[in-house]
Amino acid sequence: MAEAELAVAQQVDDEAELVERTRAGDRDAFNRLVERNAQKVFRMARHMTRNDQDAEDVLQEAFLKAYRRLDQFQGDAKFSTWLTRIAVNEALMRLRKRRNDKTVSLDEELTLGDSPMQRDVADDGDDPEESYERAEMREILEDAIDALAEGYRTVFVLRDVEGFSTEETAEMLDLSISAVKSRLLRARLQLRDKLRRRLKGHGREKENHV
Amino acid sequence: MGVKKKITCKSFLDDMSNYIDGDIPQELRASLEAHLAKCPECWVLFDETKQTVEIFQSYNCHPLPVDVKDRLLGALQNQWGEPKK
Ligand SMILES: [Zn+2]
Repeated sequence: MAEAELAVAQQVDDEAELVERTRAGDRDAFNRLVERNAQKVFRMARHMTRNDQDAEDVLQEAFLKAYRRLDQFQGDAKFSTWLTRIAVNEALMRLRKRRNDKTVSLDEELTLGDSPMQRDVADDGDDPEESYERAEMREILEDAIDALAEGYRTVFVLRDVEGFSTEETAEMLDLSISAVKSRLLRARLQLRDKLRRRLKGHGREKENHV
Repeated sequence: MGVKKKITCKSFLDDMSNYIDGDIPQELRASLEAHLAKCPECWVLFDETKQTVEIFQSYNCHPLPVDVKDRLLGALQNQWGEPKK
């Protein structure tokens, strides 16, 4: 992880500069932007859509659109934030479409039970040597988010996983500030209920020195 | 002004998320902390909820599969109309 961070730091890859170079026709610069942001976009898309195929479609569509619309990108925002917004909109469109297409409730189409641990993880993943225990815990966290109702899940993912502000989240989801805040609280409380048993273990581990 | 808001367990819950985010006026923060100091139930709820948020932030959920990344790079190459070098 430290090595990966170092490698990233050594690249001449200030995002703004990579955007400029892409605009000037340097495709490698755009590939660099892909390398830096693909994991984050995929994670957000998978959390929101709860489906591997939709997450992959969102990922591709977001980068293709970002490339095509690069001249609309204003330097006053970060590229990664701008890209994530494009991806969030793609994910929301898919959720809406799914809601309209199907009479099946969202909870029934949960794709639990596939085993992400068996898949090869891209080598720029943050945690190439994830221990078995961490992988197990990660899956528990993934399932806990998957089990949230859509309204809570999207707010939790944007606020607590992606780190968007309350205002940004409200704007993206077309919700009031107070709706975002109350959904965030409910999402957090539901997740806390699901993880409660695990949290105690986690806390004790951390506080061994006491 | 100057009158401290009376914190009940119910009102603590309403403000807890903002408190975890540090998005709260200083005076209210002091009142919430005074409540936490004397209410073990709210303290446990607060502590566990805060841990819940932290644990999600400390794990990298849904690592990007290699094949997914390869297909993304392929899709970009396609758009550019050139074979990958
Ligand atoms: Zn209380």
